[in-house]
Amino acid sequence: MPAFDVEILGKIYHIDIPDPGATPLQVIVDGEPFEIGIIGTEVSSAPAKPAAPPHPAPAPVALPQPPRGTVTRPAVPTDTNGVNTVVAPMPGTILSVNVVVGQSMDTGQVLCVLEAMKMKNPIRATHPGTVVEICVQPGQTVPYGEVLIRLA
Amino acid sequence: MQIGWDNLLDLVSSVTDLTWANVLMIAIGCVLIYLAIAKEYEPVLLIPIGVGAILANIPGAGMGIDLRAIASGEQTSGVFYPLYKAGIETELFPLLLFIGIGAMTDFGPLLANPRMVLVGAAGQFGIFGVLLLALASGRFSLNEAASIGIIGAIDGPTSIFVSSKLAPHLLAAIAVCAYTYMSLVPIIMMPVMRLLTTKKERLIRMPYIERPVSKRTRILFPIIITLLVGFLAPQASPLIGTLMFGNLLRESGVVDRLVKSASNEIANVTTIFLGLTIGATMVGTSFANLQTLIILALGILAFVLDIAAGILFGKLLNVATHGKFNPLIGAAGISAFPMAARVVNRVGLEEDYDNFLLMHAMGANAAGQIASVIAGGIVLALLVK
Repeated sequence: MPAFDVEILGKIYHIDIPDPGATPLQVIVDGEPFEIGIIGTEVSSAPAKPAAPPHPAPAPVALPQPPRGTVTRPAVPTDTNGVNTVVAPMPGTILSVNVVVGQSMDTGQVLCVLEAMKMKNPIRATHPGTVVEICVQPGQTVPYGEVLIRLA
Repeated sequence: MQIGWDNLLDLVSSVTDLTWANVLMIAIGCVLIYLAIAKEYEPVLLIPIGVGAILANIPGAGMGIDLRAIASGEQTSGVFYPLYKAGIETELFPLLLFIGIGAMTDFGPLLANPRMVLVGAAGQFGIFGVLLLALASGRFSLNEAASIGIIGAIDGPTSIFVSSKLAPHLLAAIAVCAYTYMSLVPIIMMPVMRLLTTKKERLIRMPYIERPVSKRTRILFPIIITLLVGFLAPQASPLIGTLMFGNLLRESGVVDRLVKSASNEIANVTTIFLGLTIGATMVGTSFANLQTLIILALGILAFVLDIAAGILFGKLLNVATHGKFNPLIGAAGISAFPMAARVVNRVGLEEDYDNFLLMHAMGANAAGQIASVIAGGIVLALLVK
């Protein structure tokens, strides 16, 4: 997947685009997912090759909020949950990760187990797909909305 | 000296003295132990209670605590008698347990979502419903009816605390009833929840709301609640005071050692003493009688009414919020913390494995914990002169 660093106002943001052809386009800025609808023909017809230069559009959209360390986070993470990232539905501790990268998933299959309030909660795939990236390790504490696993 | 038949009969006298009630109670003790070990229903309490019940019903062993005999002054000794006098008659054991429960309870989900207080209040309906029903049956005095109703708090310590004040002779039945039903929380809750909600209601999504609770709020909460309840329902002060003391230890963040002692050592030692002593009060006919059966029936009714009232209140909130409140959460407004919240989460996940109701249910459950204590205090305030 295309990944690049962008410098805006002296600060460097790392940007991932898991699937350049997707609409709405999903852009991950420093680990935080955003959905972007692209208006205009020039860019939307560009999925041919994920060359970095013609893609400056995502960064300005992501900018309005300071990407890290604030509490006032919009409901974006839960919205993208259905697309291709699996996020923590509540704060807790990862007990186990039950999948490996490259594994194909069926709907309802357990991806990992999140312990919250001393209760084990299986986090399941909401749609079929393949595990692209595992972002957490067993024993790790995760805040609400943290990306746990990326599917494609 | 010749050994005759008489001497041999003396040796087996404990068998000949055995009554049907003793046999029944020993069997019940064994069932409690079985449930504890095979099904893991509240094993921490049911094993001591079961063993206590077996020991108490061995004739001639003198290990039983006959509450009627104690009330009439006939029994003044026995192995567990000092424990009964020191820990249960004085209400000390339930209070020591409450320090531990306070140290283990996270009121964060409630503080993040204070409207759950209403759900906790609704979850106490069974207490007052069954109080009136027991009174209407004509079999029980007002104090007895109130003690039976308090089973609806689904809270062992509160039930023991209230009934030892109001109706000590019913303590064994009430305590065993409360603890047995606490251990059966999932089995009793799930059918009631499914019966009273539609699939559509169970599917209502309630995403987690991130609302951080400051440390200052967490520390002030136990102090303010202690004072508030203390002035509104002073009779509940021993219970709420110990609960909130334990919670203050937890939230202070500076007395880790005390938190560990309160939630482990003190709670565990008290549980052993409390369990054995309660079990030892299940002596023969003073326990195995029709009255106990009626108390058991009224107790489960109180429990079911609590859950039903909570769910119906949840439906009301759902209407008020235009379909944004899952009525299942209403069922968590009882005191059995955190089991009730877990059951709600589980039932929600059964319908939709991506709908985690846990944090909302925990808020309602923590509110239920406080509300049941306050309800106990109100009952006491109304009846104790």
